[in-house]
Amino acid sequence: MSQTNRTNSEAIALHRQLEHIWGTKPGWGRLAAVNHTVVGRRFMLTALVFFAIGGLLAMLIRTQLASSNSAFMDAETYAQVFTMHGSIMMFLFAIPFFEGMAIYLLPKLLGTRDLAFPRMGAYGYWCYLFGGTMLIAALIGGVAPNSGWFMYTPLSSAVYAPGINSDVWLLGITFVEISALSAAVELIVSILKIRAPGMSIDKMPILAWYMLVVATMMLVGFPPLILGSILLEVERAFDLPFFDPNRGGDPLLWQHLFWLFGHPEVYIIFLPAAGAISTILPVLSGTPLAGYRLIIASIVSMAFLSFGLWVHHMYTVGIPHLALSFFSAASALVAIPTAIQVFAWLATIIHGRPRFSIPLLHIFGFFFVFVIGGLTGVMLAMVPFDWQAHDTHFVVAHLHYVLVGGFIFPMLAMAYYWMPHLTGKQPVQHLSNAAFWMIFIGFNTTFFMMHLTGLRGMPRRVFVYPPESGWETLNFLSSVGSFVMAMGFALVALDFLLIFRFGRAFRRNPWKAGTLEWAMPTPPPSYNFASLPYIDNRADLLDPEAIGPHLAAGKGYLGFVRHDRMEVLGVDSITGEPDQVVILPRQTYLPVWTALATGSFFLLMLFKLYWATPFALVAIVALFLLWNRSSAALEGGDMLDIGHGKSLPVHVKAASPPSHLAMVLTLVADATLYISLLFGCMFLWVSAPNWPPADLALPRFGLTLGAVAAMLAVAMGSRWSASHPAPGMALVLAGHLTAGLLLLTVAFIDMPAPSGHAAIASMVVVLVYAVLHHGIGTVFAGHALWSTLHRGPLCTLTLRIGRLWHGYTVLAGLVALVFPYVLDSLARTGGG
Amino acid sequence: MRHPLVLITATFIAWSLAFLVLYATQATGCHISAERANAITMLRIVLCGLAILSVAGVVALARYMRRQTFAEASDADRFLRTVGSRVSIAAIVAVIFCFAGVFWLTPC
Ligand code: HEM
Ligand SMILES: [Cu+2]
Repeated sequence: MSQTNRTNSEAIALHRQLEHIWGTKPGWGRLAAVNHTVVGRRFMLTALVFFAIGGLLAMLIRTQLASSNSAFMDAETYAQVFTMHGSIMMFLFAIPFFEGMAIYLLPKLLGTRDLAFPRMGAYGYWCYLFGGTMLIAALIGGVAPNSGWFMYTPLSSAVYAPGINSDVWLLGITFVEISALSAAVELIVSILKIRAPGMSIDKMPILAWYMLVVATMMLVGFPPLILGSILLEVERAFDLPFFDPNRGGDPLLWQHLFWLFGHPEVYIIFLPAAGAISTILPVLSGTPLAGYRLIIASIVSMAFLSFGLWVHHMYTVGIPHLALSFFSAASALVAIPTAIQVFAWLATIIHGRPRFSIPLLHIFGFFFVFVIGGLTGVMLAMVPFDWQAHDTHFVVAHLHYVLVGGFIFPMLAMAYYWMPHLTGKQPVQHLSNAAFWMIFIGFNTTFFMMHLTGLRGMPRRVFVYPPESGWETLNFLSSVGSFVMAMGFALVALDFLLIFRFGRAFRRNPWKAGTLEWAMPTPPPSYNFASLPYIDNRADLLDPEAIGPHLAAGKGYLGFVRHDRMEVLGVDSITGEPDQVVILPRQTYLPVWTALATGSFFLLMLFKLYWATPFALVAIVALFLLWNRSSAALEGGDMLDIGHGKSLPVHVKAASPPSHLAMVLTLVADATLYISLLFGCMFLWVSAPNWPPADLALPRFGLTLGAVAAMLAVAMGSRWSASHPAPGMALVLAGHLTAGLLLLTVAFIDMPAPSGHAAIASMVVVLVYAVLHHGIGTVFAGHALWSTLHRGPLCTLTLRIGRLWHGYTVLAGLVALVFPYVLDSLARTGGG
Repeated sequence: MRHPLVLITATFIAWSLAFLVLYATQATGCHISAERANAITMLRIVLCGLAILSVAGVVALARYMRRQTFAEASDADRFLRTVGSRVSIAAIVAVIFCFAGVFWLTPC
């Protein structure tokens, strides 16, 4: 008796200490929050607000289309409304919502206390919030984007969209994309490195696999879009004619870049939802997931295939049959891994004994709607059919069946399933059923009709149609359905409010799940687990009821606090053996400040105050350098005790620390952008009219040679810095500076005006890309040199990460130097 | 680069490369052969060659992977092996199915 009392009070003391360190401070302190539970919740809540706004816009669309020749909105308003509806739903709702879900859930499912880079998560959130706010402000101001959510040129370029509208989209969405990329890096590194000890790669919960695949797709999927946005913004702002066919550009370049991102995007939205289903469904069916390995193999295959079918959005632009066949084949193939998952889920239901529950109802909704969407998708993947249905409401019907089926229903299932975890309250089922059926019936009424209006020839994005078209009755039914659906969503919102307010309390693990997020109190404490578990079974077949109390009593790893530090364990990505103690940074205002500085850059661009942008850039760089300060303080003690008689090195001394992997991944995304740029320029040579340009020029050979020498100096200095930090870094610094300046000279003095022809614009942009990298390299090297001189030798980790950057920059710089010669000789051999 | 997770996706990475090469060759080929006689036939021959090469390459890579990787037999290794070989099968199907058109469709 006294024994348990003692351990109880010890556990409570431990809880207090941990909460003191990990908890978000009240008041202004909330702006300094970095905790994944807080950031994840914010992401999800904000996304829901955007969903409500997007839904409101959808209702406006349906009101307009309910009758023929409606006078409710004019063409311009309608264009802004459907563009914002699409853009909000895709960029401000769907992706951020699941990012939030992943940020909230993953560390809990993986048995740890936070993600690898909590500050990055917070920074990403602020970027998302500010970027989204920019778009909404434009909507309220009546200057929202109006060229459709895929912003085709020339509709979106300066000639046809002279206003600020397109810039809002290009800058706002790119700003939001920063959060997607930082989330991608953070999630990959966390899944691979920050898990509970013993959780080898074959024991990861299935959701972690899904998120690993999705985050990797984001890492290579978003750069093409970011590149496209940059090029289009550069065209609009500085008249570099990438998409202008009169000057050697090509509107199709935009379409390629957009859909190279756009199609994978659809899977980026669907896969997290599928991951949630793979997590929930087995629990509700009371049996393990059928085909764990097969599912993993299918999602990996799906990820690759989804990058090989973007042209199916461009079947009607006049691409040769053979090329179309590559994309059509891949489009048909991608249905197979999807089908495998659907069958695995069906098998799980059949093997188990499903208990009726609200999440299961929404999963049923998902099956029904998503399968229909998949079937119309296979129809559209066939070129001849697509030629008939392209740009009609049939496509609108298809995309909503896939998106609402593949994302909204799973999201609702997820919400009802994890609501007890988020709030500590259990549903009181009164409204939930009615809400589901209203959404389900309303949805099918709304969108089934659009298949029919589409087949009868009603184009998408038209704001009026004539009464004699014969589309009116169907459209009216569709609009009625959409209002039923909207009421359904309102009921869901009310239902959640009621649960939050009046829900029943419950003991641990209401669904009898086998995943670790239930092995903690609910709502979860900031540190998740008072001590970390050792995992010796698949992490969705565990027993939270037994594990929870054990961990709460501090009997796992790291069941204590040390120097007020936030500590988690890092593991080997394959074996799951712990190999380091990762010390996380404490709460800080830096993310919000840095995001504000980043936002000011985008605002200056938006309002064409280009002269002031360098100040914003300097502020951003300076703030990011401040992020570094705390890591310097970690030097010192070599091996740290983690409990159970084990000691591990601190992460800055470990063989594979998280930040090293993060740099590698960042460079992968960066290289994807670069390769897309190089391919894009080649594409212009192949397909754009008005080639070759009249006045091609090459860099002076002396300058090229000088730049090569400077780059070699960077490479040598970087190697040398391992043994001789100060002189090595000085050499790197000098090399970067020289190379950057020489390339800058080449780009802006040797080349003719880039506004004259896309070929020259391409060369200049490639060179500027290299200049930017040398610029950042200069900052890195300068900072490293300064620290070495003032604070003594740098930690090896900083040097290793720096080396990655310097190496990549040299490679990219050499390519940029060769590029003008290649393009020049190609342009001469066959332009046209 | 020899990280097991890169290894189990190697066959699909090869598929992606083949995809890029074939698409680029087709587009470039059409572009430069516009005014030349017999060039289209040449292009088709090149494309057929590339397609056969990619299939052979992916199959060879799949076999190499099977032999090379994960000689030890921990659970994690066996798991990666199973997943890897299923991914390879999918990649082989994909490389055959996607590029089969080179043999009969109009290249330009
Ligand atoms: C809440 C119920 C919804 C309704 C009633 C609705 C209705 C519509 C309608 C009628 C259009 C066609 C506009 C036109 O072509 O003139 C449209 C377009 C679109 N919707 Fe929705 N939608 C809903 C939810 C969603 C969701 C959840 C998503 C994505 C996650 C989404 C994504 C899109 C996209 C990407 C477009 C294309 C916009 C464009 O053409 O630029 N919608 N929606
Ligand atoms: Cu697509």
